[in-house]
Amino acid sequence: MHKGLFLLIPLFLMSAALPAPAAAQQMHVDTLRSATVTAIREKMRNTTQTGLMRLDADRLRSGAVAFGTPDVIKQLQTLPGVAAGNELMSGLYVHGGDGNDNLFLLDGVPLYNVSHFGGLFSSFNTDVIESLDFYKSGFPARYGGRMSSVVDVETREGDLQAWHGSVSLGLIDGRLQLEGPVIPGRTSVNLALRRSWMDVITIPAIAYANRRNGEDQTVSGGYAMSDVNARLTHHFSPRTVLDLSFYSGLDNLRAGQQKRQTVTDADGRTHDGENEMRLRVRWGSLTGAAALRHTFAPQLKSVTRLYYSRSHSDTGYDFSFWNWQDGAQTTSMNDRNRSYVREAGLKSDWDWYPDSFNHVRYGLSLQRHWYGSGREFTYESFREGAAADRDADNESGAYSSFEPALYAEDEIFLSYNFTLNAGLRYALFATKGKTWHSLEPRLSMKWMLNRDYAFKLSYTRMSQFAHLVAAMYMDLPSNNWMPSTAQARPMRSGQVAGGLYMTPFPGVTLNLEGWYKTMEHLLVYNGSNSFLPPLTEWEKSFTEGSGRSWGFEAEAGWAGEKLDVTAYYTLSWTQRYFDAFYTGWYPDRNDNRHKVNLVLNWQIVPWLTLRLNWNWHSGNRITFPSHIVKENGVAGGRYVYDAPYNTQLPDYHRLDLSLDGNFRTKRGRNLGVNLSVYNAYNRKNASLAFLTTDSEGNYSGLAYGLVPIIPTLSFSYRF
Amino acid sequence: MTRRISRLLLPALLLMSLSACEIPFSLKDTSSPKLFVHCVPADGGTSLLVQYAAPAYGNAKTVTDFHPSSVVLRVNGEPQELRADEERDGLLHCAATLLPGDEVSVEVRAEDMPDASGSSIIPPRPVIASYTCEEVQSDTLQATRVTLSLDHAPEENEYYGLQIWTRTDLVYLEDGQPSFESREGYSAPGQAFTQQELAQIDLTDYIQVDFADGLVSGMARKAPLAILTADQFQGTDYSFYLNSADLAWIYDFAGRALPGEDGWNPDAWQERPEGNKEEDTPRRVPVAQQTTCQLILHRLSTEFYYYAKAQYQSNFDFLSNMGLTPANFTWSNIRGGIGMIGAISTARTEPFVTEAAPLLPVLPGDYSSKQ
Repeated sequence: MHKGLFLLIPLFLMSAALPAPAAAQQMHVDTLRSATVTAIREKMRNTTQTGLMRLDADRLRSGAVAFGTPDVIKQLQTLPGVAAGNELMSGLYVHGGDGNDNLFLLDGVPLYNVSHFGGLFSSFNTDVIESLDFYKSGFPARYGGRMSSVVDVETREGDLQAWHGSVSLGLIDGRLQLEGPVIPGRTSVNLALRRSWMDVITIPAIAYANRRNGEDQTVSGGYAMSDVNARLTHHFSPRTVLDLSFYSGLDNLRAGQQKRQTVTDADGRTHDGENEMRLRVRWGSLTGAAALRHTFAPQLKSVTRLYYSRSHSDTGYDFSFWNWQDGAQTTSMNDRNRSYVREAGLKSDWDWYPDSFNHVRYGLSLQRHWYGSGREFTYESFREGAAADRDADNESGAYSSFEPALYAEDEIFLSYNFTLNAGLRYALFATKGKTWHSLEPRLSMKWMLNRDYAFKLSYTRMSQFAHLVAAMYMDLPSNNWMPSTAQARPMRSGQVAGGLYMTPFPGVTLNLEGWYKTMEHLLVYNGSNSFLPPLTEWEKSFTEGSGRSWGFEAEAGWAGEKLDVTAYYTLSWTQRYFDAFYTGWYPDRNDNRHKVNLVLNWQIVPWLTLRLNWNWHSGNRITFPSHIVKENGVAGGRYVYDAPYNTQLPDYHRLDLSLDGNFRTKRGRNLGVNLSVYNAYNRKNASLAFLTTDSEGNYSGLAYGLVPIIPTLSFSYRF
Repeated sequence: MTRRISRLLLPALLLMSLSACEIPFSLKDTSSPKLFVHCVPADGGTSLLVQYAAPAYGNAKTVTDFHPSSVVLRVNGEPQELRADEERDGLLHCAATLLPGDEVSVEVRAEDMPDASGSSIIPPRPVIASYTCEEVQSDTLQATRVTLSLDHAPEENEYYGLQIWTRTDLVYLEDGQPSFESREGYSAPGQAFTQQELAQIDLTDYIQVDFADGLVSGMARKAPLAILTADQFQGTDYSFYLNSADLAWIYDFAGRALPGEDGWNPDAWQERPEGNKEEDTPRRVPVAQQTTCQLILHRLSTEFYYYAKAQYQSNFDFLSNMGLTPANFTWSNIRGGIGMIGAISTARTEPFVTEAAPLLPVLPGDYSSKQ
């Protein structure tokens, strides 16, 4: 059994990790013009909010690339104030947050599962994204439900006048995007499909394994992920627009092994027997929304949205062993784990300009959540001459909750250089006889020192009623979302942020920002034996604690005619207090003291652009034995750990390169070729580490880096 | 030929890629020597272990022969007399009689190290209201289901530890002559008897450490202590199994010859010690057995519970080294040092005879009365 799997797993991983020649990347026709870059940066300076970064479609398509596919979350990981966690994963630890406390909105609909394949790819297809607003602090009152950040992704409305699209092809995945008018001038559609074909490229590996194993043993397996984004927009009139949007993302992993053998029983009879093992894991997300945008008057607009969001996973193991074909003996075991979170909601958001000094936003939302997890287990054994042995077990935990929320915020232009955004959000969360209330003040102010210099300050309180029940720090299908209950209190955070935002010279921006954030009622897994989170009474396996984070971040940018350079620096501290672990504050595992990112876009010639992204940060932290307790006269000793996360891994750094070539065909179509190199100088960054001793008994650390240079080549065709 | 090349080439490539992945690094965060103090004040007597915790990294010189300059144990503020253990360096015993509610504190000093101190309060003594034994049987197995009842339902943050003392008395034939042997030990409470119970086990609550001679260690080898929280009780009751796998060493040898005097068991996949010949080793054939059990229930202080849980969890450290699971840690309430002072109080049942899994004939009824 194991031979085949041992061969299959490395080959499968290698196929994913090694020169993934070609994955598709959207051809990037329009170069980043300095004017556009400057305009976006100035717009950021002019907002009242601290901690807001807006990324447009160009920036998202040309940003961080893993396996040749532009990745939204990996792009966000490079921003200041954000820690990435484990390499290549989709971790997003914002201002000391835990990674499960980010609100992801896709066209206004909350998305619970935002990655594929354990976090290797994010769920957002950059082909259809119009813009992305990323809030790290200064959250406006219209956002709620998560504690650390808001990622508000808006997809693009289809072209109302003409049909066009693009095809992108690579070895890892392929993408198709198509948009155009259904009724010219009134109704448009924008459709994007994405599918990986790692299941296809592993076929030769599996065939090779089966050939080596011979006829008596076969292995099978494969992994595939797919995404569908669709948006249908109908303009009833210039004042009334209906948007229907749909997203579905699905991951499918399967593996199996079959072994045939002839056995001789105690009576000397021979039987042809068969053992079989099958694993299948399916997980994904689905959202659907209908949004009606109406302009009652130039000073009054509304968006009313009815939506449904679902995230689910289904894991099944089937084992049958010692099955003799003559029926003298059979044994089978089936184990199936399922979990889901569903949300249906109605949101109504209003924009009102009562006069030229006030911009009032207010609204309400009614959300209904369903959380559930369950396990079905059956065991059946039959042996000739003995009674059949059967067992079955069903276990499930289900919750439903109701969450109404109201908010109001007013952007008040107190003077020509002083703006205040004052807001209040109230949310109620009721589940299983327990009701939680949350009153969240949100306050931001901006003081324009002169035309080019702005000072901003904000204070926000946030609450989170949903908890990710996970035994491991990975995006695994076995992770469940569960609601706050009588035992698990809502997580809450408070954050003060402020900074100076400057444009000292034309084309040059300099932003300096600091923050202090506290987090209460954080939960961390404290179970003993299981890599899988508990299905029922999950609160008992978690322990509650607090967190705090503070730091300083700087952004310096220069946008020239053909060259655009941005540098980010973060100095931060992140700590945790869980008295079940340690009586005192200790560093968080993502307490990266320093972080530097350099981003360069250079349009070498009109048809060729070079992009460079260099990342460096202090290493993540792990827990090493701090002391060895010695006993007189006894060699060696036993390890003790004086505090969690007491050791820092080596510094992390990596260079990503991307070269975009854009060509125009004789028919006027655009053909793009992209060469991307992830980890260009093949830096082995530490993924895991152990304490080791040399021959003289001196202790040192030994880390292992697992992610090598990954070059990818992709082609795209825009029509 | 291709197969031969691939056999050589693939491991070589794997070996090369793995060695290229290694990143040695120096440990920046230096640690300094500390006192390790371990004390479990109990109503039946108190042991105190003081040891040298050498820094795992850093420049401090490791001491090979360590003696603290001062160790003081106080009960309700009154210093107590301590007696050094004759066999183990660093182990001290206190003969004072302790009662629930007593506060026990320790202060330890040693040269070139910070002073270490801590305290704990003896918890209320548990009351075993009753216990019942029920024989359960399936097609292939039989066991004893024991239900232990307390005088009240445990509340949250109320912790217990259960140990099962066992003595197995065995009659066997050695070269045709009847002989007798008795062995004592501890066993862990069985969690499941049926496949269904096995599938339902909630391992997230399961903690088992070793608790022997008043000291706790992570791996349950000698005297397993199963930690019980309120979640594992059904009201006032906690049920578990005494089954053939848990109970006694006898079943390892059931139906086979027992080890001879030289310790060699011809049926146990062991190499014969040099110099012995098979015919020189007397063969022992068990013919009857009886197992006596005693339930020992400890009420644990919160400090003891936290320390024991951390000790148990640190046995599973591989994934935390990858940053994929929460960190290992040694829970400590020793100020200035590391370790634990965590009090307990204990109740015991009367010894009782179990009939679980009588793979051999049970001893005659009057046997137990002779003991």
